[in-house]
Amino acid sequence: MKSATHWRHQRITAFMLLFLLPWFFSTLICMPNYHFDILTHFSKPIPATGLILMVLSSIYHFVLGVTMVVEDYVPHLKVRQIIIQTIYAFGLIAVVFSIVCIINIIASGGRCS
Amino acid sequence: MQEKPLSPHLQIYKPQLTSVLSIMHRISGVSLIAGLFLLLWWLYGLSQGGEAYIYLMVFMSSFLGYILKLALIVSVTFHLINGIRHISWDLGFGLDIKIVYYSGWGVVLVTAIASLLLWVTLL
Repeated sequence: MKSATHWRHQRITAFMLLFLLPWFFSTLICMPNYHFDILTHFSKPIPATGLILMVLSSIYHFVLGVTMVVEDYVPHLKVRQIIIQTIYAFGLIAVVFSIVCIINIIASGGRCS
Repeated sequence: MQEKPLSPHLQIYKPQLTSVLSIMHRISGVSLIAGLFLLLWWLYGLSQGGEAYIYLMVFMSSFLGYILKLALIVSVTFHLINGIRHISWDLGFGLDIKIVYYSGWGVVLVTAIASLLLWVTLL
């Protein structure tokens, strides 16, 4: 990835999270801490959209940030490359896993199994 | 990937508010991997319900869970609030050294208050 793209994507996801994280935490705070209520809420289209955006931008922002830290502090090129590839792999798995979970949440339609 | 020069290591510098907050931004950011894992676990528990969700609740109400929650709340609030400062610098605002110090102490203060509020309400 080009450095400028990396930089720009880092800022865009940061800006998104600036709104998505307070939304997410305030939603949790305002809700009774019961599985059924939370599941019902996040299975609705608008909260589910917010949740997907929040989770994906978090993972992407994390991958971009940690890559930068590794590039700054890991001196050995080969080691650096291996760590960065591992972070990318982790990011990919995290993205797929979270999407699968959220599809499950939406498909449940608030019905507990 | 070509060979690029490394940043000078941290212990070279005398600690100041500016540099301490800067490195704290990185430390809190990297440590938020724990938050990411917790978020994935939460999504899994929420989607599966039953035992999967109860395991998470039991873990979060254990001693380790409390410590993790506290650390994550502080990390996420600090990273978010200091992040606003970073974005404003990128837009060219608040770069004057005096303002950098003011906003730095502001970040410390707001992080403390917001963490406390989150800790109380999310308990």
